[in-house]
Formats: sequence, structure tokens, C-alpha cells
Amino acid sequence: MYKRILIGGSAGSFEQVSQLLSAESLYHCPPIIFIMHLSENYDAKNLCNAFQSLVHIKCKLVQNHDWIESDTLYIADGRYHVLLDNDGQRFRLYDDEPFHYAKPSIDLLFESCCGSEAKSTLAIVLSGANSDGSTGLKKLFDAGAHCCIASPNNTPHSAMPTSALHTVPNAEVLPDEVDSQWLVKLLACDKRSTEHLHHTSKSKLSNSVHASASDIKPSNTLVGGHQ
Amino acid sequence: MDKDELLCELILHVIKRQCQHDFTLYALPVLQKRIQRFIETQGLASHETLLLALIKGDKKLEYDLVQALTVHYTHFFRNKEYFQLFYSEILPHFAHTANFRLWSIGCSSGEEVYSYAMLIALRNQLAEAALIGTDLNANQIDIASAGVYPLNKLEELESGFKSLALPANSSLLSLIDSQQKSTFTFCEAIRQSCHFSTHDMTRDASLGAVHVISCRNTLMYFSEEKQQEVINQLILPSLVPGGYVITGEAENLEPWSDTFNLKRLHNGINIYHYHA
Repeated sequence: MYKRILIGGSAGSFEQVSQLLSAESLYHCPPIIFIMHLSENYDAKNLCNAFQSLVHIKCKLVQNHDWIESDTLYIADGRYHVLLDNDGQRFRLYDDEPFHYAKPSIDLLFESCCGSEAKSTLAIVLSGANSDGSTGLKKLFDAGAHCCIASPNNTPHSAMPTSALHTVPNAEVLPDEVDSQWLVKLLACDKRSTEHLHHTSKSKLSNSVHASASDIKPSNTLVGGHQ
Repeated sequence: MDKDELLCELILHVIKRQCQHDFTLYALPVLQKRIQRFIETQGLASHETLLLALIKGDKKLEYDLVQALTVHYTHFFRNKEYFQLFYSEILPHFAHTANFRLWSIGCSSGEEVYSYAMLIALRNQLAEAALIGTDLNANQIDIASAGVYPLNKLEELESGFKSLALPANSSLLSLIDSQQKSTFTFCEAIRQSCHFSTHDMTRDASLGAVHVISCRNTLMYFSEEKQQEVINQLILPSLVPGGYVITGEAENLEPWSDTFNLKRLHNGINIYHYHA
């Protein structure tokens, strides 16, 4: 089951994210962390407010040491790099130069999530005019994350998805026309498969309870004997 | 974990063993990126080349790597709103204070200290002022002490200076010396007021009788417990009652304002008045 959704984008990605997250039915979801390259002087509160008027989940600016919460879209400003620690549950900000001309660095966010938490991570690379995100996506993919890339055929700036696709050829390519239902369907599917897993494991658990019960029959008999 | 990640861990292990620098405070992905950048700027062939040179005892390379791993990002008048408030609200409080002292902790290559010094000079309060910049990184302290910057930094400085609301007759030209072709420095009065030294904020002693402590983008790397320890054992003992603490944008001390008698001046800006 997805425990976090990481989205990286640069020029042209605002519209794509708005489209991806605009479904009314998307009000219950894992934390979504959106990293977009921004100027240091840009006040990301404006971006956060813009998203709040477009999506139906809560929008918050990333704060150092904050625990990440479900049903929330986190927006990072351009002043710090953003990483996750505590097994992908908490933000950690870094003050450093841009890496490969990019700040916040999408690679860094992705690379900070490559531990055991990668398997419950959905990572998406969207429009952008450089190659940030490719290295991080490759590491996430190798660590077992579900990795998706916007279709370069229908992306305002295709350099970033093209680079990501070149680096991670087996990642899933999003449909040319991404609509607001894509993520809703993916999460519903994820929920159903998780419920199925829960169901299966419950059956297994109940079988094992039966097995245990039969195993302890002699004790019951003993207890019965006392009666 | 891929090969280069493993090599980065080995490189950090060698650094820790050979020169007692422990970088466990920093996140591994950031250190990996810094090591990668170091390899590129040094023109080294690979991570293996760096590791082997360190094991063979290349002290110069070891020293340069430690400096590269501890370097901080800075520029003149970074986050102009902080400098605006320093000029408009903090400095007037100390207009008649003899021996005004400002301490910039984690000052890197000195841009922040000189930015404060320029504003103090514009208020005509520089004559009795001392600005102390400290950092763990000795290379950065050397740059700060020299106070000589490339001309492209002058554009950054001018743009920051122009963005502040200062009296109409404020002149940047009177504060800098740009006689050289490719570099510039500051006027004699500013250079004589600024002092720099290496200092480890987690281990070294506090200073005394400081009126303003600027500790921006350094506390953020510590755990919340360690942050409180640094405030309690280093920052507050250094401050005079009525002094000010300036922290970075990601370093909100508001949750501890009662504990430490710190009152935030404005919402959203991390400048605190110490009312002990």
C-alpha cells in the first residue's frame, strides 16, 4: 500500500499536478510531496494557496522536522532542499547550493526515500527542462518503488521525462492525456489489492488460529479434567 | 545500495577514523552529492580514486574534502526581510550602546557578516561595534577574513542592497572598495570591525555580552533536543538581556519561546527578542 507519493517537476509541471490532483473524489490519500524547482525569492505560500483552490485535500508548506500526514499535499519552497527521514515519515530540510542547477533537488528527495520505505512509495516525474529526478528515480526503482513518468509526447517541457525514461526505461509511462481520475483509480486499485492482502492474511491468520487451537487441545482437556 | 553509495560510506568512515570528523549529523544523500561534486571539481577519476588517495594518507585531499563537506551556502543580504528588520527595528535599540557586539554563528565565507556591517555603517553605529563571524570550516574563515570577493558577487550585493528600504542618501559606493579589476572589498572601517575565527558550536565555549546573535541555517541540522541544548548552553549565555536572536527561515523557535524567554518580533520571521 502506498504510504507516500513523491512528485517532481519543473517548468510546466504546475498544470500537470493540478490536473492529476483535481478530482473531487481525491480527499483521502497518502501524503503527497510535490517538489518543483523555484527561485529562492519566490514566496511558495502563493503556490500553496493556488493549489488549495484547485484540490480537495489540505495543502501545506514543507517545514523542517514536520511529520508527514495523510490527505495532505506538501509544497516545498525554493530556499531549501527537502529530504525525508525516519523511514520516510518526517521532513528534513537542507541549505545548500543547487545540485545540477536544481533546487529543491528532486534527486535528493527521491534518494532520501530509498530504504525499506521505497516499496511503499509512488514516485512521479513530470514536465521540466533539465534532467533532475532521473538519478533518484533510478535508485527508487531499484529499491522497489512504483515509478511513473509523464509521457514526453504530451509534456510542455519534455527534457525531464525524456531523461528519466532514458535512465529508467522500465518505469510506467503515464497516458498522453492524464486526467484527474488516473491517481484516483490507481489508489482505489491499491486499496483493493491491499484489502485483498488483508483478507488473505486474515484467512491465513484464522487458519493458524484453528491450528493453534487444535495444538492446545491437550491443555483444554487438562483444564476440562480439572473441571 | 550501488557501488558509489558504498564507496561514499567508506570515504566517510576513513575521514572519521583519520581526522575525527563525524558527519553522521548530515543525511547520506546530501553527503553523497557533495562527495560527487568534490570528485568533479578536483578532476578525480572516480570514487575509488578518492578513497585510495585518502587511505594512502593524502592529507591535502583529506583537508579539502572535509572543507567541501562542511561548506555552507550563503550570499549577501540573503532573505532581505531579515536585513530590513535588522536595520529598521533592531539597530535603533542600540543607537547609544557602547561596544555593540554581533555574533554570526556559522558565517561561512563572511557575506552575512559584511551585510550586517554595511547596515550598521549606514546607521553611523560602526565606530564602537564589533562583528564576530565564526564557522567550523577554516577555509571559509580564511575567505571571510580576507574580505575580498569576485566581481560577480558585487552584482549580488548591489541587487540585495537596492531591494532594501533605506534612506534615499544611502550609498553603497562609500562602503566598498572596488579599485581592483576582478575583485572588490569593503572600506577600511568595515574591515576593521569584522573579526573571524573557527568555532564549533557543538563543542566550543559561548562568547559574552553579545547584543545580536545571528545563527541562520545551522540549527536546522540538529535534532530538536540538540537545538534546545545549543540555545540553552551557547546562545542564551552569550546574549545580553534585551538582545536578539536571528535564526533561519526553517528554524522556528516559537514552540520554545516561553522556555527560553524569547519573543518573536513578527509572524513568519525568525527574529526573537530575549527578555530575560
